[in-house]
Amino acid sequence: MTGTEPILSLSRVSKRFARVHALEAVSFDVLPGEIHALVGENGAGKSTLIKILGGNLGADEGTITLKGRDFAPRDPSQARAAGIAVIYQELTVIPYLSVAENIFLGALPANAIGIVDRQRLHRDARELLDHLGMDIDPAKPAGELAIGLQQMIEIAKSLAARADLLIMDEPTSSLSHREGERLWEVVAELRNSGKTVIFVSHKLDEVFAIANRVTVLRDGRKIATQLLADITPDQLVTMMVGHELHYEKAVHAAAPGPDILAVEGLERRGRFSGISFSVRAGEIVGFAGLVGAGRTEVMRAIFGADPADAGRVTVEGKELALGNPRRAIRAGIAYLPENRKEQALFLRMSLLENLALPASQTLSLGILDQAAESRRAADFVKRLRIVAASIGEEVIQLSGGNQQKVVLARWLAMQPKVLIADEPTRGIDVGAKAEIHDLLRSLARQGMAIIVVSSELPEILSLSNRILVMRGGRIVANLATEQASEEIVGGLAVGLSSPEPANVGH
Amino acid sequence: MSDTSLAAQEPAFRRIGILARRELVWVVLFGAVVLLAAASPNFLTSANLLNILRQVSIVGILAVGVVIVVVAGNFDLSVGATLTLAAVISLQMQPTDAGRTVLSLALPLVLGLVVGVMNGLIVGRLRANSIIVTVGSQFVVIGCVLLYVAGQHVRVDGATPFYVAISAGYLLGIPIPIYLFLGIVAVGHFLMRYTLFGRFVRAIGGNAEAARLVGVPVARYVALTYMLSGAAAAVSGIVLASRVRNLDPTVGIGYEFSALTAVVLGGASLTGGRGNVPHTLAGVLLLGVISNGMRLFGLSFNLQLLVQGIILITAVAIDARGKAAGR
Repeated sequence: MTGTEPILSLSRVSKRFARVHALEAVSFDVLPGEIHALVGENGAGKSTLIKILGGNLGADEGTITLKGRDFAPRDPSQARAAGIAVIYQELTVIPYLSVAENIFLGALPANAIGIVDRQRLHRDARELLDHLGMDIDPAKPAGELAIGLQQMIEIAKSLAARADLLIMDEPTSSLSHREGERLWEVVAELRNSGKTVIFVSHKLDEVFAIANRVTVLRDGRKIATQLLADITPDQLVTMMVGHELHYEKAVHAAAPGPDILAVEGLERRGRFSGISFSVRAGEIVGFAGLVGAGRTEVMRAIFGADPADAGRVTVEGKELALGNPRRAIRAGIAYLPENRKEQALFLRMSLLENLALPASQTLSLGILDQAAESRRAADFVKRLRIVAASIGEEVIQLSGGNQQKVVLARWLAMQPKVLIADEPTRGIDVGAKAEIHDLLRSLARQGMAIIVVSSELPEILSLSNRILVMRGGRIVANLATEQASEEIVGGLAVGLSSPEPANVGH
Repeated sequence: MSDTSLAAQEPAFRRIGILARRELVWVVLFGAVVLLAAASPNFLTSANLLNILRQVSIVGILAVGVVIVVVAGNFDLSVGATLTLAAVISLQMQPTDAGRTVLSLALPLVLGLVVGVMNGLIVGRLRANSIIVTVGSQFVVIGCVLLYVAGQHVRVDGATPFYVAISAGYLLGIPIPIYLFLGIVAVGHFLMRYTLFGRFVRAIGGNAEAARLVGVPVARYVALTYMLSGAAAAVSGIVLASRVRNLDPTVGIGYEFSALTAVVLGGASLTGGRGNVPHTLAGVLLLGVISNGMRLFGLSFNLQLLVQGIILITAVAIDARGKAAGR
């Protein structure tokens, strides 16, 4: 690879928003045919960089050279024309159009009077899909595909547009482990056929498994561009956060207390059935499994966000009437949903109000006690080290990690007995992740019963005292963390090793 | 990244710029007042200003109800019909003695709340599209009114002084409807800004699913917003009835769009979550000042309708553009 001319070269690229330097004099090269990872904490400038390359933002200063020519796209179509395809986290597949139409949208094969040549369209789409090793009917509406396959459609789109530089923003963040692996196989094939790929990821194991080189951004500056063969994961993390991180191993509460939450025979037809388990005071129970195994659905049913068809949930021995979040909250259950922005945050409301919502403090007649709420918010900002201009700042301005801390603080304010955290650190940078982990551990030490749902096995293993594995809507294993490893849990989740029924149900 | 020291260092002009954009409707209102004051010596007189305030009070009271519904993420296009219903019933009660006067104030309010509850339950519980539901209830209400009065005008002769004073009375030299209007503005603002109700409503409009998951009883509060706007429409109707005392039973049609225009001018987001009562007040005043200005220059009523349409579209376009730039 060395010795070739770079396909893309950035020189002192800067971008400033009203208050912040999003990028400051960033320079690096991307070589043709390499897979180049872009890493950094949230707010490091990765998204800004991608938007500039994709033509969604203009750089304030600096020059970009693409294939030896100056490159300054004024809009996304110019970037596409220059051979760059950007695949954003939010996929742009149009659900009611067919797979083939999605792939060739913008360049549909048509005859002289504009009627689409459906046969040719499907033939071309089939050819591309075969090339990617995907057995999908091109006539199928794209919305019916699983999210992992939709991502493949995005890749097929970029191939149809004859892009030779693919840029992917956290491509596996919503994929299951298996879908993610399939994606990386395809990416590796693309590289072998001469394409260049830049991707952003928070998952360092991916970076090491697939990328040739990595560029680290921190606070808008480039810290380093390195061959991954030359560095260790610890060194990479140090570059990202600017100091060394110590991962705490799972600390087991000396003596977990009595059962706080007990679930018996919970069922939702078509989603999950026969769910029985309990969580004790001071215990963190991890829920592992593939995306779609039914973990989130179970949690939502316990919390009352979705209805359940059968089963009992008790909190400290008292039965909870299912199907209504308000009753669950009153019983002492807190639920951190997997999708912060869609399901938890009021982006245009202040930090204070976001934090106050489930447990607003009032004087009388429903009049808000603003002094008490401000004190409480300021207190949580300090305790959880939430970085914000003020407690009056809109949460849309905060980074993902700080937003998640706000959601956590909101539930802590009501002093729950049970905390259900669904993907508590998804899309959150390394530093904030460690802080949230520490917080969950200390809450458990104070006697809270905690459930953590996570698709990241290292997270499950380092947090939980006990691990429940779900597959196909059932709990297939109940392991003490000492007996567990990534291999064992991962195997159970995909059904490679047989479940141990003797252990199921605690 | 985002610390206080940076915010403090922001140059003054930028802070003023941010403030001006947030308070755009007040800036525009101020500009309109200055322009008209310069153009006509009759504009900036206390008589004319009080006249404007009195003129806008009916639409203004409606708009306070409408903005609350809009902040919760819904529409209420039935307020013009509810206003008509309240006005017609109020006169039909023939407020010629004390007892009947009480009835002609209370019954319209009750009916306004009833229309609100029905809108609210259908939109809140069944999650039906609020535009369609309230256009439908508009027809139902107007239809009931027309059947009830058989298409005839309703009138009252010899109304009690108290009833007449609602629209024509003065207190300390200021017309009573202005007190009613500003009082309802104050109550609306207090509700939205300082109570749990307001917080819940803003949360529902900002993110209904998240609101449900923090335990906000969404359907109940959506129903409450419609009850408030039904009640506000009833008050407007009573003021109108007190003023005219001889009503065409289709009088209120179109009022809902004037109220909505004021709400949009006030910068409320039509998808919910953003909007407040003081800005709506400014929107109402802006509408009043523009129509007063047109009258001062002798432009016809027909032209005013056209101008109001253009204002509504412009305000929505500015709102949409702001949203596109914000992303």
